[in-house]
Amino acid sequence: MKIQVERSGGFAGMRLKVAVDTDLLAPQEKRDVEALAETARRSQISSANPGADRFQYRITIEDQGATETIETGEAGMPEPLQAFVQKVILLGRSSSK
Amino acid sequence: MNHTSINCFLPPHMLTSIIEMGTDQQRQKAILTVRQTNQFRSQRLALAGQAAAGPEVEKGGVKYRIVYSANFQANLPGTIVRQEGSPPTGDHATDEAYDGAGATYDLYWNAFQRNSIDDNGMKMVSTVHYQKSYDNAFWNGEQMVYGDGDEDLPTNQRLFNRFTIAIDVIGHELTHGVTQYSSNLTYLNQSGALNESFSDVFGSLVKQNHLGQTAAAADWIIGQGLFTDNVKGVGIRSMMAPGTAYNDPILGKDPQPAHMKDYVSTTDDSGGVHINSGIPNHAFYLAAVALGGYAWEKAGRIWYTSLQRIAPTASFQDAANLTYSVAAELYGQNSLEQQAIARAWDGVGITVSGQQPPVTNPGCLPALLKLIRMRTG
Repeated sequence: MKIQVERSGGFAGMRLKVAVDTDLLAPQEKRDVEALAETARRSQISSANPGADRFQYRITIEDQGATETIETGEAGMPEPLQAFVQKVILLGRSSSK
Repeated sequence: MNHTSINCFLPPHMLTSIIEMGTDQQRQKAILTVRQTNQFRSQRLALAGQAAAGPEVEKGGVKYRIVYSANFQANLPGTIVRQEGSPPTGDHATDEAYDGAGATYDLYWNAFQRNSIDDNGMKMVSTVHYQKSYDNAFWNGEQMVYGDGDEDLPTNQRLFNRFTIAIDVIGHELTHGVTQYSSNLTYLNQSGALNESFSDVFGSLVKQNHLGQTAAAADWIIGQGLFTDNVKGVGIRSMMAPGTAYNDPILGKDPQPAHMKDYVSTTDDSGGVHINSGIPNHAFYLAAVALGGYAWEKAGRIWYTSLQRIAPTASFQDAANLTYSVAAELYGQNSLEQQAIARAWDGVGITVSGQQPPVTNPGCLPALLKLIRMRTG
């Protein structure tokens, strides 16, 4: 599974882009991340986006030849999707160091 | 937008009572109504002139701050750590959020006689220590929220300090509340970039007021102090020279344009609201420097008055035209002030046309006229 998270907006308006290929992860981590991805994909996104300076996300998941793109504001993200995005950003950042 | 006429007539104190005492459903509706009602104020003032403005200007200002801590979680508002009148806690984020909200209140009250976020003494609620490694601050529609930046990472890996460290960030977030209760500029594309720009403008004015700086003495940097020493940059944005605030190997380069010819078309960032805000930001800077003295006195007053009247979907051109007509109203037709506003917009590639944008929310107009007749008759 190939995962890409792009973040824009926020007070600073800076772009962040991280990519994770689960095939390159340790077996346990790969299972964990793919499980998180499955739960995140099934969770219900709200279009509510009140206020200002929130992050905006574009999440792309490529799995077995199919590509899915999820676009959402931070405020409308359900818990499982938030947890998934946080995990991918952490992994993406540490692999780029 | 659909409004029932009753929404226009429920007195604010009743709505506040519903918000405090009602069921969840009632509360949500009342909160929405208070917001919508406040949007009509600008329209009412424009229609009724001083007649409607009188009683609102007379009431006293009430500054009330509450600071919560999210304790590094995502729950809002969290637990109370400081409120109005209580002494400093010693926690930097808490005390900065408290002091910054106070300085912002003071600018709005002293310069524009605005009584808090809603101009009705609304409590100013802030939450600090939001999540972990959270490089952001935001307004969630009801309160301000501040992350600690990278303060939990090793020193050599940190890029951002805590977001309360810069007083203009606090002024910026609180101003999103002011905008929501004034024109409620739609947070998308040009109207969204105007929403952002008003927040930078008044955020910067809070800082200049706090430091006692004239327009000529101010640095016009937004978020000075937010970056750690590991970043090559002086702050997040520059109103004096948009596009030059930072240029860093990890964070990249400040993407802000200073002129319409460099306007950025994108779907990211709600249509580039934090990018294209550089254009109206620079127009304000040019106006303030041309008018001289303290920026909140003339340029700030023109922008503040415009914020009360601007249409929710206004374009940069609409904003330019409106500030130009407001300048004539406040300082005289063809006054030096009005000419300076035209030159400022010209400096970012916008020629003012002197026509006012159309009045919005026609659905409530008959009810408003009736209200005005009741008040004045």
